[in-house]
Amino acid sequence: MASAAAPAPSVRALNCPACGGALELRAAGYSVTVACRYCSSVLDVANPDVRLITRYEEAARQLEIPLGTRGTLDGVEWEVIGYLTRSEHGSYSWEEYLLFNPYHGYRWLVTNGRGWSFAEMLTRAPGGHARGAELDGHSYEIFFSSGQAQVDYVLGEFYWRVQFGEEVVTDDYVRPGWMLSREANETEVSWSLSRLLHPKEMERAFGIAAPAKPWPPLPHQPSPYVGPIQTGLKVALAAFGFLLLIALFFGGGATLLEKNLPVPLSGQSQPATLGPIAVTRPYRLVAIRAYAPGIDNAWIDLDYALVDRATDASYEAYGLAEHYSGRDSDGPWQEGSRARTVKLAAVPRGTYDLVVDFSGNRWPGSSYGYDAPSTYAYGQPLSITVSQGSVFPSNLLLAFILLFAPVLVLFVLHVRFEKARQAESDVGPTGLAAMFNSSDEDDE
Amino acid sequence: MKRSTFLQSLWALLVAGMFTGATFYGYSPFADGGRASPGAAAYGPTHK
Repeated sequence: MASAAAPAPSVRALNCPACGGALELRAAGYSVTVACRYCSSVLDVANPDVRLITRYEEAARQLEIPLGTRGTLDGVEWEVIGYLTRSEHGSYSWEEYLLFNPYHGYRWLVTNGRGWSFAEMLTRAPGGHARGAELDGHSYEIFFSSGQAQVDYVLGEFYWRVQFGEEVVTDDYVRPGWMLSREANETEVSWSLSRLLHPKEMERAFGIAAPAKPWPPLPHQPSPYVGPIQTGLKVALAAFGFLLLIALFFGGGATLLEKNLPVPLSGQSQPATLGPIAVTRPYRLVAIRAYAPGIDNAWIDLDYALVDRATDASYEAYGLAEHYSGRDSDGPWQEGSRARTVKLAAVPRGTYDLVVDFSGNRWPGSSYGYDAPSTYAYGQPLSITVSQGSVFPSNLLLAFILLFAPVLVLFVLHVRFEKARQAESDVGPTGLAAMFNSSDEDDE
Repeated sequence: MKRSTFLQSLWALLVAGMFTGATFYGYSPFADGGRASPGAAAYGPTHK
């Protein structure tokens, strides 16, 4: 590979000994092999006398990036001097363009049709760990293992004696945005590091329109949802913290009225008017709690009407206190709640009376029910408490769900992306993709 | 600012605004209200 201090190579003209076509050697002095752009014959150009290595009479392909095209990547102008296609014995083919700059050496542009990567040969071997490789402090997970890559087609010039059918064993390791590739044959092992190019980079450099959102994702394609998830979590947490402060400072309640009523379990409806109840803020939530500590196998129907003394406006609600218990073959059981709270929303400031229509009832189906002795004389005690406040806990819960819903949606999309990305891996899913991998998919 | 950040901030602002408004108005979509219609309540234990 040419170093940064190496002299600029001269362009050399030559003729293909197979077809006579005029060729231009762009990296003369560095290139050792040229595939004729007219007949695809492979020529040895390491020496002044051009020698035919392999004769072909195949019309050269029209390349997406023609040889000789120049483009700037990472601030360096590169010239396309070679092109080859490779595959795993005819399957999963990809293309590689060899780029050259006399001061920076060789690079590769690699594409499988769904995206482009910019690769550089490494002069050092990465370290290894249990599930991959490590380079410059970054960890790479194994993605493709022990692939057999062969050269299917070549065009242009190369710095090694490239041959059709040339085979290497490949392993690829990935981290978001980067791929580390190992190629080995009988004589050597080489490593290259490639960076996934943004479609706009390719468009600026070579005028190539690459897919913006390839699907399935490329092995080293970063999930587009990670950043928004992190941002969304921060935003949602900050907003929810703000709401908690609001609830803390403005959610305080005050008891406006407390009364006790005797409720006979006779099934007859009785009215009671409780008041006055002064709502002191422009709009408040008003909570009415009924508690009948002594009922068992009985219920109390409660119809409330909060009536404004000034306007006769009425806010109505329904409550039910009930409790049942018994014993069966499984032992004792009980259900229902002796206390029930109803909440009235947006009650305007004013003075109110609470009109309660209540009726106590005994559950006829129970053979175990009983009433306390006092019930028969005076009825069950029922405590009514009216308080005002401003924060509904349900509002806080709803706000929490709404705030984190976008994060949840993004997380689901991220998992879907990771599962699709890792579906092509030779080593099976890892991380979130493995965590959310269904058993059906495992069986496939 | 990224579009996703902008949209999420806007959404959070909207939710926080609605919650604050509901707090000062004492409002909730889950508030109780209305008298029971005849037969609306089911009485008795569900225990078998």
